This record gives sequence, structure tokens and C-alpha cells, in this order.
Amino acid sequence: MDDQMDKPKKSLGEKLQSVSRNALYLTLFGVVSISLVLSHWMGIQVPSQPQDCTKDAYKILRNIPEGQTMVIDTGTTNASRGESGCQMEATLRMMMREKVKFVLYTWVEPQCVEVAKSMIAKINVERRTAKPPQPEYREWDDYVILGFFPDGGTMLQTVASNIREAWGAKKEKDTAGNERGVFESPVLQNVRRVEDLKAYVPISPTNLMPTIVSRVGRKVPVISMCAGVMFPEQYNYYKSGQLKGLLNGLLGAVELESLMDKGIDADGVVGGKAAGAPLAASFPGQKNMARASDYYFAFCCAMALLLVTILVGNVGMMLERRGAR
Amino acid sequence: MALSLDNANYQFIKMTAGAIVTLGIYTVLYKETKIYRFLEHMFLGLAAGLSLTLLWTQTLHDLWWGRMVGKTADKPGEWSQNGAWAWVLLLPLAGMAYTIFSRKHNWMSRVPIGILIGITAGQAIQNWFNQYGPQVENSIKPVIPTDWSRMTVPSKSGLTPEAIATIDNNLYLSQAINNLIFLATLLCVLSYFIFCTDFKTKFMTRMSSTGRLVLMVGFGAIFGTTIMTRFGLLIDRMYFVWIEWLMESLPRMVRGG
Repeated sequence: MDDQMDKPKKSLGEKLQSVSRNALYLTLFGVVSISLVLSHWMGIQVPSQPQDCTKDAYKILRNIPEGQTMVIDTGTTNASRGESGCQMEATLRMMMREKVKFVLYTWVEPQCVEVAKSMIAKINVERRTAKPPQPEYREWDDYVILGFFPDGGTMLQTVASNIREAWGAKKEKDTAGNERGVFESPVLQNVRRVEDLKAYVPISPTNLMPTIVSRVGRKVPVISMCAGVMFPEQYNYYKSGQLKGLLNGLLGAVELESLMDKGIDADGVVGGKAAGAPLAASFPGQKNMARASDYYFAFCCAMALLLVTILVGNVGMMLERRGAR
Repeated sequence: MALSLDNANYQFIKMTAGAIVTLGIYTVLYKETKIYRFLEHMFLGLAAGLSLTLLWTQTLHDLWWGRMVGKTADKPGEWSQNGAWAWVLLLPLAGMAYTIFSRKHNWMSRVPIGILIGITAGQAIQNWFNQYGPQVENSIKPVIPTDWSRMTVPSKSGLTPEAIATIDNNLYLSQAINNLIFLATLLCVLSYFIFCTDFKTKFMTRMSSTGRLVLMVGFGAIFGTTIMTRFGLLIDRMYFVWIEWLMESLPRMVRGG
């Protein structure tokens, strides 16, 4: 008790710099929770201005011809749903609306495929209950799942030289329930070389780029959908042309949803109305602003809180220094 | 009550468990509680068990077992294939990796490790050039403008493809300044990593200091995006607890599906 009484009183500057960690966490939880609930109730949409790398990704994905095949290389787990999950859902919605076939696999973690399957099932429910209803995307006819490859580097090296050798041993059940090789499926039957794939889209919070661009980057357009933490590193690959498009975490997913809603006109303006065929059309009248947009208001609030706490800490430091003088 | 994935009750139980586990894990922010330790162990156990199962069903069954034992078609149109017994040789080879735990026999583990290192080394040389070659090539940029008539890149709106190609082929003053900044940054950062000699001249010392400063700016950007990622993950978990579980799943359960 005496010790406490002897303790010198903290100045305002010191107090501002020593806010307890638990109080900060609690404030963050409060701000995020309230903003999420408000955004959900009131349908708050924060506008975004897509970056060039997101626009390039959208232009490629939006212009894959119907019936062609692309690859989704997933590293998405439930833990990374806040970023990669949003990107994955938006990409799946686009591919299903464009009737683009896709091959899905992982070499990050075996559970990634299970997570992707649950997302496909969720979007299929959306399509079934849409007005007017849209046909569900079916395994074997519209997409195939190759599962988990424990050594992605070697697998991709083989894909680059002989795709049929790399994936030839994989089996899937066809619509009649018979087990058959994946290259007999409508998804892969016309794919003989890696160049026949129209895009390679890794959606992962981990850094897969050194492995992917060095093996298949010269043969197929690679569009990376990475976590925000990986963006600065992967931007080098985009600037050097090794990546044809790049999404920056949650921000990138919001931009992608925004592009799905507005499109890019003939002059390259997002949401513009220039005459001529658009560079990448929108999906009018469909559910474009989805999970990422739901998160965006809370994200902006959390960033504002971060700025305020930095400001408070700096003001505290300034006051303390002034007091010391 | 039948437990199927379409069953609303099952969905609710699943989501409730998810919400409890999410909040339990977050108790670590207060202090390392027993709830957190229990959930951490549960997570690791589940992940290890699930990975083992999926490794067999998704990988080894098709890529190794299926090739080794082959398959006879049960129905017309189904896949059939002769078995190739030689695939069995992979089993002792893979088993040798586990001898690393024995002091007497751990020399055997070097065989599979050596094979893996050999494969990786073989790929590495070619892949290094594929990975960094385009980046090195892209770092060599022109700094002298080819068109001095205007400062910035003109708008391409409504132009013919030929006119757009002309604009793309020109280097305007603003682009040249950008390239110059890029090159200066590159050279400064590279000079910071020259450790084989002491810099005697003021110019080189300043260049190296600028390189360090620029690196700090880069690390700052990486730190900023790291925070963005962490916020994104927290927001997702809070969305799951407040919206998906409490505001959507619970009322659906109360209403009876």
C-alpha cells in the first residue's frame, strides 16, 4: 500500500503512451463488432478505387471464353477466410457465371481442397435460389478436383513439360458414379499442354509465386490472389510482367467485387459508359458485392482506430518531451 | 434427428462449436488460459488426424496405391489399369527416412534425403533464371524521354490502335522521371549490400545510407500490409460470430430451420 502511495503520478503524456494492451484489444473488438453489425443492418457500402493490378486480373478472368479451362491453385483455409476466402468466393462466382471450367487442387495443405469444396457448395446454393435460378456447377462436367500434391514444385515442373503425365494418375467419379481418369472429363479432355489452360490462379495467403512463376509463368497467364502481407513482395512479379494480375488481400477482393458490379468500359474507365465493347463487362443484376464488401466498412473503421492510436501515442510522446524540457 | 450436412440443426451445432472455439482461442489476448491451451491442443490433434486421412485419400491412393495394384473395371466405361509392382519399391525408400530417429541406422535416412536434394538442385538452376531473369531485365529502364512535346502520357481514349501503339512506344517526361527514381532506388539499395569493401568516398557512403532509408520505407509498407492482413482475419472471425452465427444461424434455428 505504501509502495503504491510512493509511486510518482504519471503525467498525461505518459498515460497516453501506456494505455493497457487489454484496453486496446477490447476497443478493437468493440469497433470491429459494432461496425460489422451496423454495416450488415444498414447495408453500408464503402466505395473503392480499383488498382491497375486488380483491373488487369479482372480483364483476363472476365474474358476467358465459355467452356475453356483454368486452374485454381488453392491455399485457402478457414483461418484465412478473411482475405483468401473472399477472393476465392468472388472468383468462383465469376467462373460459374462465365461457364468457365476449372481444375482445383492444392499443394499447401490437404484441408484447402475441403474448404474450397464447401465454398463451391455454398455458391451452388446461391445459384439454385437465385431469381431466376441458375444451374448448379457440377463436379466432373464443370470442374474437377485433383486433391493434394505434397511436392508442388516437382508437380508443376512436370505440368510445364507434360501435363498429362503430371495429372494423369488422378481419378474422379463421373456423373454416373464411375471412376475415370480426369483427362476423360469435359474439363480436361481438350487440354494437352499447359498452354491450353487459359489462366493459372493461385489463391493463397502463403507465398507460392517463386515456385509457380519459375515453372509455368512463361506458358500460362498467372494471376495471383495473395494475402495483404505478401503483396509488396509479389508486386515485383507483377511489375516485371511475370504476373498478369494481382489482388491485394481483402482490399483486392473488395476491388474485384466492385469491378464485377461496374465493369471496365472501352476506354478503361471503371463503371464508364464509353461507346464500344467494354474491356471487361460487369455482371448486372447479380449478387456482386458479397463477403469482401461486407467486411470493408469494418476494415476501414479498424484502420481509422489504428491511426487514432498512433496519433494518441505520438501526442503523448510530444507532451512528455515538452514536460521534460 | 438425422445428422446430415443439409440438416439445419447440425449446421447450427457446427456453427455454435465454431463460435465457442473462436472466442476460446481469443482468450489468449487476455492471458494464456486453460481454455486456450485445451483448444490449441485440440486444433493440433484434429489438423494432424485430418491431414493424415486426406494425404491417403487425396494423394497416396491415386498416385501410389492405385498405380501399384491397378484396377479392374466393375462397370462398363469405368477406369481400369494394370498394376505396376515396381511402385512397391517406394515403400522401403520412404521408410528409410524414418531411420533418422535411430542412432544406429540413421545413415539410411540420407538416401531419400539425397534423392530429394538432387531433384531440387536439378530444378533450381533453371528456375532461378525463370524467377529472377525477367525482374533483372525489367530493372533496366530508359531514362531519356523520346517525346519532349508534353510532360505526361496522353489519354488513349477514342484513339486508333496505331495511335495507341505510338503512345505506348514513346517515353514521356513523367515516365522518364519515374524510371530515374526507380534506378536511383535500385542502385542505392544494391550499394547497401556491398560488404566486400569499405566505402571511402562521401558519395558512396551517402548512397548506402539512402539505400538503408529506402529499405526502411519498404519494410514499413510490408508492416502496414501485415496489419491489414491481421485486421482482415479478425474481421472475418467477428463476422462469423456476430452475423453468421448470432444473427443468421440462431434465429433460423429458433424458427425451426
